[in-house]
Amino acid sequence: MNNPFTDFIIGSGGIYTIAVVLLLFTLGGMTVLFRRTLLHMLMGVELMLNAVNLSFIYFSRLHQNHDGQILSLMIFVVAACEVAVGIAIIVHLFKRTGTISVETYTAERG
Amino acid sequence: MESSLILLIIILPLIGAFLNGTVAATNAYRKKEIWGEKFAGILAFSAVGSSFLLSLYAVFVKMSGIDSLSFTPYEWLSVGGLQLNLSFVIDHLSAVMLLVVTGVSSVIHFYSIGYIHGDESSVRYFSYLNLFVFAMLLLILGDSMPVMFVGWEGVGLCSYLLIGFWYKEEEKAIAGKKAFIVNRIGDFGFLLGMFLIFANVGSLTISEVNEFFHHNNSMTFFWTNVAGICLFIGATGKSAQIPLYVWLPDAMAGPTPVSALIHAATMVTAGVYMLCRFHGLYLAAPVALNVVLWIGALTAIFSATIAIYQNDIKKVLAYSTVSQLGFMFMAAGAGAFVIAIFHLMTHAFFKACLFLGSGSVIHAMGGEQDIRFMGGLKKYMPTTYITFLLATLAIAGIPPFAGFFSKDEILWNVFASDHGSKIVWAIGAIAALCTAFYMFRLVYLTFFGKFRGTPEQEHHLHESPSTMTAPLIILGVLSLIGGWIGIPKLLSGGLIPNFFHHYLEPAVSKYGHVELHHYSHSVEYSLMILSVVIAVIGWFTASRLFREVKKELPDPARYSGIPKLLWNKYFVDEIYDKLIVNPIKFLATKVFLNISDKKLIDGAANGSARGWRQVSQVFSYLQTGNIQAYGIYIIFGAALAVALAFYIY
Repeated sequence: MNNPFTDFIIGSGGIYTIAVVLLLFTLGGMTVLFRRTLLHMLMGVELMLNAVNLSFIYFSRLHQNHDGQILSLMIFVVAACEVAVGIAIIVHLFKRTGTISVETYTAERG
Repeated sequence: MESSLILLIIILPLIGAFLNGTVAATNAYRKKEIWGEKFAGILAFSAVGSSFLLSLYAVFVKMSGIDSLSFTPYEWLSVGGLQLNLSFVIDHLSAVMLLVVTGVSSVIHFYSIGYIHGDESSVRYFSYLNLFVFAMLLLILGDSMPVMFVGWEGVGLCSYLLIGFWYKEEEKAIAGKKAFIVNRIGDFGFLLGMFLIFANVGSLTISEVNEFFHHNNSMTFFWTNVAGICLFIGATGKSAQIPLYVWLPDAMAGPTPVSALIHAATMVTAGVYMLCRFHGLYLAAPVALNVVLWIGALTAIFSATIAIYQNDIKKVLAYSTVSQLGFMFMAAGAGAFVIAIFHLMTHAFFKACLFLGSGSVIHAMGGEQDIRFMGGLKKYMPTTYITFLLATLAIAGIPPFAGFFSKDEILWNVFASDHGSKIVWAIGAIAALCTAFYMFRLVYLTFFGKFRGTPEQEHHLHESPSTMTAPLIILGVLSLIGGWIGIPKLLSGGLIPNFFHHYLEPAVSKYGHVELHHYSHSVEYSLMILSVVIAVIGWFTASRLFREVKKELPDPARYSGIPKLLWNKYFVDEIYDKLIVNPIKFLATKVFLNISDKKLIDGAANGSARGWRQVSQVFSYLQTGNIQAYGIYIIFGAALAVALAFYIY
């Protein structure tokens, strides 16, 4: 395949790391898409974020600079905040409605 | 120095209008008076009065020995080849108008203080009145057509506001609307004339336009005349000539001082003034000038005959105004612009006096305007009677009152001028006969004989307060002596030159003048005697018929034949309704409202809205409200984007 994008990934020899990243990201995505509980969906989001972090660290190493690693630290901070807020919302929703099943929240139906 | 003088003359009434206007608005809004009618009246009067005094100073002191003062506050706009300044000029022509307008306005503002007393919105009234004077001054002093046009529209607006001043009565609001709409038609003509002139001359400054037509008229004969006629259409609207005169009689719905100021003395003469301002153009357009002559003559006779059978005191005066304006246009059409301005001035005096007198009568009669129910008022209101009589003698053309000199000169010029015609002279003479007749009919029915109203009205009859009689006296005296500044050379045996002619000469004959045919002095004398005889015949006929009215005056509903025709004003309003107003209304409601507006425009708007609603209903199935479904859309979208990226590279 004469594609710079794929050449770059395969040629660098980091195919296994990329595979792990893709696997983690897909698993997280699937969790978000198909688990019915909000708590699980939040965990799926975390998984996806961690997959992205991993890819940042790998590319940082590949390019021999520290930008990606610094960025991944930032993502940790943001993710922590997001979890704190997300869990607070979920707890509140549970208190109000007695359920955290995502199918019950369909107020946006057109 | 002189610049600030001109600016002050113009701006003082505007300041008055602004102050009174804001106060009127706040009074109405807060239901609490900041200042009342008395202060408003004094403020308005002093604004116009000081404007008048400054005008006197400007005209007689600053302008002695020079032809004109001019002042340009700033450049208005500069686009391509058009360089337009906001500039004002006082030459001898605008000086006469300036003095007449500010002078008569001051007198009428003073009268208004007494007349409008007790009206709930008198502050608003004074604000409008001052605004009118401001707009009129713009019209008079503006040095270019657009500035003139701003004033032209401004006086139209004020006329509308003041006719419909008592807008709570529907009939009066409608009269205001009619005046406004009819004037728009005329204004359209004015605009067309302006465009034509700009397209050909490349300048809008009045003196340059006149210069152009006088020296190197490169416009074809046809288009020169078309431009002249277009401008004259504007004048027929503003100055109430055939075919656009119909608004003026209805305009009598406004307060009487307004009728005196706007619809007799000043605003309606704007058309005559404009014609004289453009005399360079009109002298190059003989056909247009002939149209002016004939329209003026026809209007004069037409409305003079209508006035004979009217019973409303103000309606008689309104038709008389239309007729006198016709005389002014006759003079202008014969090329005698000086005489047109002379008659304009004398007419301003006596017609303002007549209207204010009628206001005084109406005031005493408790709002009654029908002369069939008046009579014998002379012993109750002597001052009003005497001043009214002075003005009547003036308008009828009895020497030595003001109207005689101006009207006689009009007839003489129409008779003798190159542009005049003997037929028009005859029409004018008959119109003058009618004028004398209906004016003395009015006087006899109002002031002579026995009182024909109700006993309560008779009990209430009283002379008006001095704020109202003082203006009457001033204008009455002016009706007597106002014409003496223009005594023809002939009468003094050629010893004293005609002062008024001499004064206006530099302004109005700058771009040539029309020669009179050479007639011997005896012809001129005999025509002069003839016009006096005509006036006296009219007077005596009226005296025979109406001096002592024994039996009740006939009810106009039972008229037949010619009286019926005249009482109904030749059915012109009805004809206009049938021919113009109703078809336009039909077109507006049936075609434009129901078909093009409701069906086409509303249909397109509503239809497209309905269409999009249906389209979006289909897409709204995608909006399940389930967040995971949205997640799937995002995934698919992203996958699609990636696939596209692969495909492209």
